[in-house]
Amino acid sequence: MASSDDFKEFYRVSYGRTLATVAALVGNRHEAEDIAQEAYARALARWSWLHRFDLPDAWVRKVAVRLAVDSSRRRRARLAATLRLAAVRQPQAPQPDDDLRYTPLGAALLELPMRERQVVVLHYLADLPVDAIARECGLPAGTVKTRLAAGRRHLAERLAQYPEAVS
Amino acid sequence: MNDVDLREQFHDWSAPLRAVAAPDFAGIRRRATRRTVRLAVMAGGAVAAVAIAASVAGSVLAGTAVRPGRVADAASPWTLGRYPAPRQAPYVFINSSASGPAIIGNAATRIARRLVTVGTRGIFAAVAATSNDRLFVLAQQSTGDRTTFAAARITPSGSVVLRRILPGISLSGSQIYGMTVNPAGTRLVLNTWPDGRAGSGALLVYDLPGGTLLDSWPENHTGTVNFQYWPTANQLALYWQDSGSQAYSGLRILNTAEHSDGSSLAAATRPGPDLRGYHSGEFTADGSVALAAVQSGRAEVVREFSARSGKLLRTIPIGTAQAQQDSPDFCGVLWASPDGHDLLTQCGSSQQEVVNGKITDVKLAWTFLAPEAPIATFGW
Repeated sequence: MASSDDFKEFYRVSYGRTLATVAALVGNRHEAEDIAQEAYARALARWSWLHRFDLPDAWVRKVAVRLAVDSSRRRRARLAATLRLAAVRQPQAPQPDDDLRYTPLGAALLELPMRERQVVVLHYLADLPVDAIARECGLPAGTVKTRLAAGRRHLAERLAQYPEAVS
Repeated sequence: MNDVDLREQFHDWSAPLRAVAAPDFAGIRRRATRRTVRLAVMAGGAVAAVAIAASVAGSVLAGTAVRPGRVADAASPWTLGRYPAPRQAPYVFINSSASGPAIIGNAATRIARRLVTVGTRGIFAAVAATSNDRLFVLAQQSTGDRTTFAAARITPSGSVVLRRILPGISLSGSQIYGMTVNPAGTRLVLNTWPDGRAGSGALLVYDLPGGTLLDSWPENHTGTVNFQYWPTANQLALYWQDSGSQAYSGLRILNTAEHSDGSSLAAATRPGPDLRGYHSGEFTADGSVALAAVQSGRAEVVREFSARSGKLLRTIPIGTAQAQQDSPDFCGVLWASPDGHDLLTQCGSSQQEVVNGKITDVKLAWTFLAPEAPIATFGW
């Protein structure tokens, strides 16, 4: 039977990895923490069967990535609404401590379309091979490879604007 | 910049985040509880609304309730109410987690009544509902492998009476992999398998509510029986995945009126219609149509087959394969009318009503989680 202690240990060990993956997708640490914790809350509610999986962190990552992608879509919708109201709003000051986009890689990542960002993050940060990304995203492996190649090319172009980030 | 460089940059960039200590576990528990509460449609409001539930449910069953927000014509198969719900079967059993509270809800009004909570020491193992919408059978398994059964009967007034049944059944050391009740609510069928897959399983037929074992078929062939239903009073349909020779894979029919006389389940069944790609689903109550939820390319579809000939009758798109793959939510047919003409379906967050082939997106009273054996999540 699944125990609360098992979950606590799983949570303690895997939280940082999940947080990093989500943060790379959404570019904001506070939002990433909220999403990661929501994913773990969902895992806790299903822990009695989830603990039987060989890799329950894969389930958590899948849920977290899905939440991050949804969050990104909602943010785009909010941004569109904000732009319509731009004439009557003051621009918000950037908050570097909170916002991961103020690093070369973070900034470059956030300029990628989400479909490319997702596969790039899963490949280079979560260390998933192409076939695993295909399974996790429900995409053909060829599509993953195409997006990965495009994402890598776009990332290199953007990172080239930050000489210190390119070795 | 090559792959190794890029991977190193990601590693360096994410190092501070990967080192972040997990926040206090109590916060996660509170979130999980809140989520469970949201999903389960909480009993607090439901308890307060029990009196209303009884009166509204009764009037809904009688077809007299009129609620704003949804207009149905006289020919509509759906109850007039805030949410689409079949006239014939407004009640649905739901549990949102293995150890959370189980409820029976009125799907038209979203009014729910809490039934029972097994707590942290047990799980809901299975649920079966009769097609007359008056009886739900629940199996609960404790950590000590003890399985108990309860019957939730819905009275004509709409109230729910919960009673322990089948006191004589002991399933120590076994898991329930399938459970079904015949349309009259007089027979209960269990598909059991020993924990750890050592030994052989069995298909067991009991009478209700007494709990006398009427017959049993040992299941010693390789593979698993995933699906059971009673298309007619005595016939049981089994979807068999034969992991050995494949000889028995597919839909098979067992006539439970013929005694087993010690024969195995494999030997006692005969092949049913050839429904290729059929990995989950059900027969309609009149036994004429088989409904199969399958993946077709990037889409999830429901295929309706003639149960007699296996002929494909129609295909209904219900969602995308990707939405299903990322989701713990159910994908398939939630409810079907006796002849299969009217359906309620869900795939991920997408829910639809289908009336004679016309598909309309709807928002049902609940989002249904996918059952994860041996944990039941809904019965309709």
